[in-house]
Amino acid sequence: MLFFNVDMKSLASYIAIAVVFLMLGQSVLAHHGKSVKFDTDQQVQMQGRITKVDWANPHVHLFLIESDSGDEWYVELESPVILEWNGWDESSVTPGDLVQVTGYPARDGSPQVWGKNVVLSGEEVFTGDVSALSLALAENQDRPIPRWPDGQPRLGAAPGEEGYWVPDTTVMMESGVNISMTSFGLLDDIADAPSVAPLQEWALKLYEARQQNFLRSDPSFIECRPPSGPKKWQAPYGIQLLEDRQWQRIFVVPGGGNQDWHLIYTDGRGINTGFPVDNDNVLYYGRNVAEWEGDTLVIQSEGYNEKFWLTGGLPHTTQIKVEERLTRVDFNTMTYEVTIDDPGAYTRPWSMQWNLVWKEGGDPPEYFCQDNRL
Amino acid sequence: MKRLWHLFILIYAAILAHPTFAQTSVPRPDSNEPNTRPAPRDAQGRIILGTPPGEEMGAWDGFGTRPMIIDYDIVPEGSIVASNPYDSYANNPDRPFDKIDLTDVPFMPWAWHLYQQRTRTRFEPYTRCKPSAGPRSVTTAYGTQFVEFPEMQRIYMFPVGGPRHKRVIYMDGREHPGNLKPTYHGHSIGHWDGDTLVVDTVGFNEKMWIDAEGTPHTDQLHMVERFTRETYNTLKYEVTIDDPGAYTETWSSGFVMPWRPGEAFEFVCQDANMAFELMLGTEYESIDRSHLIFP
Repeated sequence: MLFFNVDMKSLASYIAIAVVFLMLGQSVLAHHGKSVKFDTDQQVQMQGRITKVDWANPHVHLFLIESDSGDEWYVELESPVILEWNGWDESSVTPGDLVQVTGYPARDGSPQVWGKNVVLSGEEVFTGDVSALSLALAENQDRPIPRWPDGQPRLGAAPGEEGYWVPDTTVMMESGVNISMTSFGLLDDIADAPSVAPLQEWALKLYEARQQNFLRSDPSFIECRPPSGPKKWQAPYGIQLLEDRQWQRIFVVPGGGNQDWHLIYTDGRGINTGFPVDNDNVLYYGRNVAEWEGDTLVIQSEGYNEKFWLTGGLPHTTQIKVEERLTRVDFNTMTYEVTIDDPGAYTRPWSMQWNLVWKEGGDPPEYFCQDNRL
Repeated sequence: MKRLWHLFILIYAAILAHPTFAQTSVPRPDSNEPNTRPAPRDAQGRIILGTPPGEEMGAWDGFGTRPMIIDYDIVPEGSIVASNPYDSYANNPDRPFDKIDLTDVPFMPWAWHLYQQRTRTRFEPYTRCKPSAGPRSVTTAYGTQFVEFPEMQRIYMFPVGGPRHKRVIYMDGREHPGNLKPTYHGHSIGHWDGDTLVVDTVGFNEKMWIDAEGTPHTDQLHMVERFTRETYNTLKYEVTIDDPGAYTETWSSGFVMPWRPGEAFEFVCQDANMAFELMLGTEYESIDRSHLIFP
C-alpha cells in the first residue's frame, strides 16, 4: 500500500488539504483521475435513496441517504461527457429513486464514494466504461488516408467531414518498459519508479514524491493549467489539429483541460526566430516549429517552463527539447513518437510512442476544466 | 520588432484602461493605418475578416470599445469608458455605430435588478478564466483572430487573451440541432449577407456572461451577431438579443473594433499575464509599474 510510505506529518497535511477541499466544495477539484481521491484497492456497497443529481463538470454527483445508517453520501461519477457518451443523461436517475451503488471509498474517510456502477431497479444506470477511444475504435473505416491536393496527408478531416484524434495511451514510460500503472500514470508499485524513464536522482525523488502524493497537486488538474508537452496528445477528450495552410501554421486544440490552444509553425522559421520569446521567457507550450519528412510531420519544440508536469508526474526542466513525429499511417491511425531530451532531469534522451485514433464525426465536446462552481 | 513593441504598448494601454488600473492615463493609439483603407476581399470579391495574404497578421481588438450599453452612472468617469475613445464615440452624433442607452434596454424586473447587482460587484466569470459568449467573446484582452478554414467551411475565432476559448461558426449551411444541450458558446451558424457575416446562435447555458457588465440572459437566449468589416482597420459589430426569459422585447446594440497588427502569443489565464516584455521591457521606463498586472 502506497499509504504506508507516507509519514504521519505528510498524512496530517493531506488530511488538512482534504478538509480545505471539502470546505471549498468541489470548486478546487478539477477533472481528476479517480484513484487520486478514492482508494481503488477497497470496495464498498451501499443502498440509498437519491436526494439530488448534480449533473455538472468536472464530475457528476449523486446525493443519497444511505438506507442503513440514514447518513448522507455523495457518489461521484464520470464527467457528463463520458456519461452522455454512454447514453445516459441527467434524468437517468431522479430524486426519490432507490439505488444500489458499488464503488471505491474516499481515501480521506469522508462520506464519498466513486460509483463504479449504480443499479436502479435491477438495471445498471451508470458505469464509465465507454471512452472516446472505445467509440473511435468501434469505427472501422477501410479508407485511404485523406490528403491535400498537393499530396500531403491531412491532419484533420477530409472536406465535408468532421472528426478528431483520441489517444490510445494516457500514461508515459520509456519505450520497451512495461510497468503496471493506472490509466493516468499512478504506479501500482512505487519500486518501479526508477524504470519508468532514465531519471536523474533528484528527478526520481521528485517523481516518487508526486506519486506518493497520488499526483494530487498536478497543476493541470488542480489549477486547470494547460496539459503541455506530450501530455496534450493524451487529452482524454481528444485533440484537434486545424491546418491554417494559408498562414502555414497549425492550431492545436486539446479537448478538455482549460481549452487553451497554441500554434505550430510550418512556415520554415527557425525555432529561435520569429517568436516574441526566447529561452529566458519560457512558456507552457514552448516554441513549436514543424516540417514534413515525407508523410511524417516532425515537430521540434523548446522553451518550455517548469510549471507543468509530464504525465504521471514525470519532472522536466527548462532545458527540455521535445521532438514529436506524427504519421498518419491509415485513415484511422496516426502514430505519435516523442523523444524527450532534457539534460536537466534525465540521464539521456528517451522516447515513447503511442497511437492517436480517428474519432469520426463531430468535434471534441465542449468541456472546460475551469467549469467548476464559482 | 518595432511592430511588436507597438503591440505591447497597445496591450499595456488596454491593461491600464481596465477599471482597476484606470488611475494611470496612457493614450491608446489607434492603428497606424488610416481608416480609409478599404476592407480586403478575396478573389471572389468576398470580404476577408481575418488577415489577408501578404499582410501582417492581426486581430480585432474590441477590448477598448465595449461596453455595448451606454450608462455613465454605472460605468463612471475614470473607468474604461473614460480612458478610451468610447467617450468621444458615444457623444459624437456622427458615430458609426449604435450603442443602446441603458434606459432603452427592455429588462424584465428581475433582469434589471440582477444587472444592477452585477455592475456593482463585477464578479465576472471571465476574470476566473470562464468562457464567455457573444459581445464578451470578441472583446477579450489582446484581440481575437478570425481564421477561416475554407475546406472545413468554418470560421474560428481565437481570442489571444482571457480564457482563450475558441469559437466555431459553421458556414456549411447546417441548421441548429433540435436537442441542443446548453453550452458556454451555444451553437453558431453563419452566412454572408452581402458584406456582412451574420451569425445566429442558440443553446447557451446561463453560467457565462455575454458582456463584462453582466447583462443578464437565460437559456432561451437567441443571439444574432453581424460582423461588417467596413474598412481594413474597423470591424462593426452588431448584436441582437432575443431572450424572452430576460427581456420584454428584442433589442440591439454594437460597437466598432479596431484592427491590431501582431501575431498571437501564449496566454494562460490560469497562470499570469505572459506579456513578459510588456512587464519587464526596458524601452518604456516611463510606464507606471506601481500597479499590479491583472491576469
